[in-house]
Amino acid sequence: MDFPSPLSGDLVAALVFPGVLGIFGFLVVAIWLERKLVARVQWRYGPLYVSRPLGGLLQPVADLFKLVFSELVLPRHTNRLLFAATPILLFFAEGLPVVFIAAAPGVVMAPHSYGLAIAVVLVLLVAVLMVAMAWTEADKFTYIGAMREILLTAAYEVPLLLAALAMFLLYGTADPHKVVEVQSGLWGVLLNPLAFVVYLVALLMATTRFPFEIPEAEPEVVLGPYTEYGSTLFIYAFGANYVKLYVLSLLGAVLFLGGWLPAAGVLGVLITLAKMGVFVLPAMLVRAIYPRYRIDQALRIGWGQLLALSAAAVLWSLLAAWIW
Amino acid sequence: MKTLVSQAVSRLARWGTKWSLWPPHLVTACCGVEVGHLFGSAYDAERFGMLPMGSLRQSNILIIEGTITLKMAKFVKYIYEQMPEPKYVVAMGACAIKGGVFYGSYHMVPAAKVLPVHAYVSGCPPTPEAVLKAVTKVQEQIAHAEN
Amino acid sequence: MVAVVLFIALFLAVLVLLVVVGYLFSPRRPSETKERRFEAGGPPYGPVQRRLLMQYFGYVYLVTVVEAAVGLALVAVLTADAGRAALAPLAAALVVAIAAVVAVVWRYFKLLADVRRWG
Repeated sequence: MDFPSPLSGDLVAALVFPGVLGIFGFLVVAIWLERKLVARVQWRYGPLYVSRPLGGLLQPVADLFKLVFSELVLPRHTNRLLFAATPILLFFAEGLPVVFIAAAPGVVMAPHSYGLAIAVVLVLLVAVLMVAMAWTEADKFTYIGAMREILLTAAYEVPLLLAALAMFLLYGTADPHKVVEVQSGLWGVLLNPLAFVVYLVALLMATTRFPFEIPEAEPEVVLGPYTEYGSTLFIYAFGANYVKLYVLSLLGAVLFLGGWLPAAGVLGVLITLAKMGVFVLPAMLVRAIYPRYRIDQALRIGWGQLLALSAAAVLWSLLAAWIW
Repeated sequence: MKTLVSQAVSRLARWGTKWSLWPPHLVTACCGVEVGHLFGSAYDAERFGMLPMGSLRQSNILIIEGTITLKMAKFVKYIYEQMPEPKYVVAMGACAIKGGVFYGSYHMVPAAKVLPVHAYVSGCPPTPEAVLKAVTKVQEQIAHAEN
Repeated sequence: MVAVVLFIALFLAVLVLLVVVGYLFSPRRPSETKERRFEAGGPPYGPVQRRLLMQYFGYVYLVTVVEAAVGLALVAVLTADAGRAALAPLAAALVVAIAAVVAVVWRYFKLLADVRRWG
């Protein structure tokens, strides 16, 4: 499968989208968009004067420079090497699943027949690193944040996995190219809307967006697992969630929204990018709309309604595959 | 070469710091209500890139909100010491300047005796616009700072 | 394969480079206070009282890894051509597994409702 550009498709995937440039670009655009959208809901302007003609788009860049060039404090009571290494590892691990997700025909770093399934599994494995980070910081806020993170992970993991499983069952494959090919008639969201709903809610829980922003609830536990980090390490610790959002919305666009269809090549990449907005925009907007659940309410939702819905989604897929 | 690099780095760092002043939550007195307004819809300090932060490790501007009693001065000092290096202080209100209604009281200190202050805001309490003006003054100080 | 190596190398390089640049060029004035634990503005009294115990990391792994691995295995079986024939027994196994989970969840929901009523 060829990609019409001087670089071959897999190199484009590695360097531009969904690779390195895509991740960092998403970080900038998503943080700006979030602050702007929330400001719009709250009748404010949001970041503006840093670059007036661009509507404050340079705000995350300014934040990045400020954080990079501010003093890096390594607390004395921690293991300093681990303290510096865990956020880097966390950010890296959150970005790793894009290796297996295709953004257009041929634009994938490692084409694999179980690519999307491996990506889902990689997303689920990261919670350990978050807990390791909180453990390294050895602080009471990070301790509570980590406990909440573990509990929340246990609640969203099974529904997320079952939602993805339902789609794989329906398509009969986990290869990103074939998954999109199957959807050339009807998109996955229409084939199995239950799985889509479960995926969307599980995405909000996985990225700890607002109704489920429990591990880093500011009035309760300062910043949860990120409390002790400043400087560049804060970008990684805090940005890791945005990378997870990027990965999960890319995965969702391929799984549920027909990926790059109906185009291919460069246009296909752009279409995938636009479809990611279906997952990213709600995730940004719920921040301004919803209050926060208590941890027990969130667990109740995860183990109750969400689990039931995801089991129903699997049954739906089994029936649909059987009838097909 | 070395000076060129350090100049470029200093420019970038000053530009970034100028547009991203993050205050921690520290309310010492009643001016805190006005700081609440500062981030609300009518005044919106986020236009200037301010973002209230929970932890001290990421924040770099300390807004002294009014009276500092001797008891609180210890903690103000401690918080200032814990903030990472490029850090700025805005002292807000008549109490932080000279004592305000508590002038001459045995148990209060002006902000300048506790911390190096970069900008003062007068008023009792100062309006949020006045605080924003002081913040822009700090921004100018940062932009025109020598290496 | 080149692309994967390139991606990983570039990604890690950017991450490490930013930390190194920050470490080299940022102003540094280390002090004893600054390196203390963050206690929301107050000085910490002694070592932290509760911290995550390392021996519980095994459980964290259990929570995150086992389901993921089982899920991957399920996907592998179900999407293979041979697996489609074995759909019915696997579906039955899946239903049994979910039923077990539902039983546990139901029990704890009842407990939770009781706690709510008296708590």
